[in-house]
Amino acid sequence: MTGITPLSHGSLTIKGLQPSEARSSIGYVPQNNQINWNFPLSVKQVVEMGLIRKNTFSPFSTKKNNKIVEESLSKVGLLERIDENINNLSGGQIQRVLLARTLTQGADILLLDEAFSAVDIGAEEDVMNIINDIKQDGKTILIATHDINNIKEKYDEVLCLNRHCCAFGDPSEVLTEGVIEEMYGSHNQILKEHRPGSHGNQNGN
Amino acid sequence: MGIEFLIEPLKYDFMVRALITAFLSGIMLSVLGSFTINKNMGFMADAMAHATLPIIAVGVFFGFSISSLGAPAAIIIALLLGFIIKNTNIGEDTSIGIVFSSFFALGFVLISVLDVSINLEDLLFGQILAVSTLDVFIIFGLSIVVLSTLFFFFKQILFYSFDPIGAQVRDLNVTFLNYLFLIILSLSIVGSLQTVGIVLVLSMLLIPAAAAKLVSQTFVKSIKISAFFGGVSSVAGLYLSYYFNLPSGPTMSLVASGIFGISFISKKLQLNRKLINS
Repeated sequence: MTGITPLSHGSLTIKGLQPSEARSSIGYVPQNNQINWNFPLSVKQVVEMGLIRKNTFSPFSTKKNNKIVEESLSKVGLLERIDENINNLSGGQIQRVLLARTLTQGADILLLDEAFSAVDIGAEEDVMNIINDIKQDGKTILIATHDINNIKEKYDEVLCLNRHCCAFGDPSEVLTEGVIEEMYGSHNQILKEHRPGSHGNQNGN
Repeated sequence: MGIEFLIEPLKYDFMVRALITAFLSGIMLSVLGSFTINKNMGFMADAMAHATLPIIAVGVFFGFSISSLGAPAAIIIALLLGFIIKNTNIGEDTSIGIVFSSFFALGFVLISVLDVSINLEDLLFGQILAVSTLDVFIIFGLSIVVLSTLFFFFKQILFYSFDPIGAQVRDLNVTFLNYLFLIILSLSIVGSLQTVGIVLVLSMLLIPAAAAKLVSQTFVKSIKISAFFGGVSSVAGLYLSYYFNLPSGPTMSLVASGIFGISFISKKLQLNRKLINS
């Protein structure tokens, strides 16, 4: 969806645009291990990255950008930590900072990659509450996760993938034992029987 | 002692040129060093310094001076290293190791085959007291180019260094930023070879930045402190080498090491004090 990995088959459009052309619509929260935590950056610096563009040539922050950063941080409840070193924050707080970064962009679609892999249950709930608040603002939120606990309570729709689409729809309807086994069960047997494009329409969409 | 101590070496033109060159190199290297240590690119920087040898050998064979070869050599090495790392799947360290050792070996072979008159000791440990006025202008120009590039691309390079995938999704040109950083890093390293030499350039790049990281809380502050440590190490090292008749490049490196030692101890003491108070 971010246009970074080429499609192996089928097609994908976002608001009628190719993924690489629709990047301004997407706010991305990367996996924790994709970030270089060596850099002793402040919370403000990380959130402000959401406002950096190809034509950003000033190392200084404008008043307008500072205001956007402060508003985004107050939405995730971390305004008082604005000058703190990001490495001093807990896993849940870091996720909230990265969410605030996507909010500065004003993107309509938020893409969260394994957002809860480095957070405890309490922090996960806090992040989930913020995500629900963001949803109320009319944004679409997509979360990639391997954790299927409480999916029925947390998510409106679920797309189950294991190299192909196993199921899609209301989690309380589609998340059957068979689908769960198809995703996490005996892969050898499943892969023998399923190939990309064997579900859905002929184009693999 | 006092002001006389500082003024006396300035009676000599070669010392003035050396001080300007050392100061500029010290600042340029240590500012870039703050990025280098956080990006874990120390080995890459070492490879860049060593890989210059064959280019310098061929250049000197065709009548160019070592300092005038700096910029083209730096760009060739940066592009080559970046290309090999991106297009092989043998691991970054391995790719760098191959380029590093092959180029260094090729350099020695070329020096022998072409019968080039290069003083290897000067190349390895620097010969700052021999810098010409042209060398001063070259290092001044390089400093302006490197530091202004870093100034204008600071936020983009920082974003890319911290979160490469996030930067790509944000539509930054990450391939361009990657090569841009490699080129300015290589320019600063190759441009400083005359000052501290191939072996010691790494110490001026990494040690002030590492010491600054120990004593600062934020990245921007660590860059400022690193520049200060880099400038002080270079100038103090040069004065010490003048008064105690020591080799200048190694003395500058040792001053930087001393600053690191003091920073390390003060950090430890600070942590201990915090533990006792808590």
